[in-house]
Amino acid sequence: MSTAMTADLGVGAATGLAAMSDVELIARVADADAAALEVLYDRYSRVVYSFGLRIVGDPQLAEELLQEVFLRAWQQGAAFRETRGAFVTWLLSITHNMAIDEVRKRRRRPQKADSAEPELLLAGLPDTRQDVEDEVWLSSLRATIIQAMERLPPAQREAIDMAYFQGLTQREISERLGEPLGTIKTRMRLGIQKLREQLGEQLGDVIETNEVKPT
Amino acid sequence: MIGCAPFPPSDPSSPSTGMPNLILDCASVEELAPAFALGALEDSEGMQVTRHCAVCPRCALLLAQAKSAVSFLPFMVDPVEAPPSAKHALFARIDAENVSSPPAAASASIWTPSLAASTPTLPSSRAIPPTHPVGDPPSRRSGRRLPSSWSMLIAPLAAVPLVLALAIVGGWAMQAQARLQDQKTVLTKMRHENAALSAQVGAPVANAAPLTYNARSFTMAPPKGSTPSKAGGTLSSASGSSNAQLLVWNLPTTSTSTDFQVEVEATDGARFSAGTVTIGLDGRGSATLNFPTPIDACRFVHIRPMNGDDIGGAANAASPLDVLVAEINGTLGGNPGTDAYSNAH
Repeated sequence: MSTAMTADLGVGAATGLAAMSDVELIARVADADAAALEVLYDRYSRVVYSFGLRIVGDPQLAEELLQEVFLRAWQQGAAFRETRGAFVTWLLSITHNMAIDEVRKRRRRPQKADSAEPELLLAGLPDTRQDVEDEVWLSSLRATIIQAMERLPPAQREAIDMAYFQGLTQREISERLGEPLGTIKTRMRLGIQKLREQLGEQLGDVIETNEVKPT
Repeated sequence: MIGCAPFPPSDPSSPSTGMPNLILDCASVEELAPAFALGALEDSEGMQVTRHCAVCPRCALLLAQAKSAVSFLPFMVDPVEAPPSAKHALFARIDAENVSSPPAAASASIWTPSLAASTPTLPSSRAIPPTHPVGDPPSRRSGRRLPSSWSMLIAPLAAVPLVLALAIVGGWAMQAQARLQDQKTVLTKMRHENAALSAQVGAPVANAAPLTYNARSFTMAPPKGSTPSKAGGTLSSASGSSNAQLLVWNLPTTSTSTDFQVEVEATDGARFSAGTVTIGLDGRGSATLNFPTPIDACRFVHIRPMNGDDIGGAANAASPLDVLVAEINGTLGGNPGTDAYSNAH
């Protein structure tokens, strides 16, 4: 079904899809329902794009990454298993893997002299907010996670950031920082342990569902 | 707390050949699990963690907990709107690729009850007045007009052929619609099966080390003297690599034997575990293997049931339980194997 047909479905059908859960929608995507994918895209394109941009640091690359992630969801929607976690977690896991692969590939190639820092790129991009309720919930979640990260010792926070957002292995981090490999391993382990403890206290059941409320 | 699988502590070397023991213990996995969740492990380390967690519920839980915490990190990023061009480009690609979408359901059946109820209008005619009281015998061929009761039946009777024709056509349309629905169901099922197979094949490939220019593949086949079967497989690796990707098919399984041990044989005949492969109901399986040495230093690769069942191996062979064997490097010498098969490059 072409997305052009989405407009032909009428208000009733579109409203019905928008009210469905992620699990229901991805099941329809597995059945080649492009309208269902469109709903999922509208829900999660911002977080996927932003996350990808944070890692790759290039808006053009981040846009291509966004397309590839949702194309993967379209092609492998049947592979999603609700028992393994929330759909958005699956989607962001794909995003992370693809983005890190790209970053590691680029590390082996000469980089552009004018590539900006990811944080600066994000600061310069407009944020057109849509649904107020979703935005408030996401803002609250973001603040909670940022707060939890800021409570970590700087060394642990740095190790997690270098691994997760820069795609460096423990060995590479150890070499860059001039620290023993065992020290880096311990920092990562303790950092994630503390992060989990703090997020578990504050987010509770949200950790289990981790799903954006339908509009 | 859930108990761990009985893994021995890390041993610097194995007793017979001095090759390093690469089996991780739970303490090591507990230390590496957060880095695994962050994507900060080397490929070989990641594979070892995966293999350990596949058989150790406690460590699998630890890994899941680490992944759960890491899964929130993307939400730290300040969200910004994606360019509209991304959405247009994505769905244009999907439309272009969507060639197997089944046709839309028939908008309306050709036959509908409303059509059956309607009758063709007859040319207007004067009402035929009754010429005889009710009960009189039918008129003869004397030119007298038909009784009014008969004239009232003409119109409905004239409509019967039309109704029959519509019913036949409508029935055919409903059958065609049912066949289309069946085909759609079959297509959906095939798509699901294809996706499942793709995930089964793609996952180990995605996690495996990239094959280099010197990539080689070896044919796995039943050993000589074994029960004839259509079992087979391929082992793909690269020169100098300690990793390999295994695909097997038509492996015989029993109710108690779906897991197979993969072992690599060194020049002196010593065998080392390279991993396991689980076979599905269709006899197919895939796995990413980890050899203790680069593959070039291996002589044979053997596959046999993990529980020791004899499901058709060669009774007189050096390894009677083997169901598949591949010769990696026959020039290494050692005991001539009974399981030599040609290599495919």
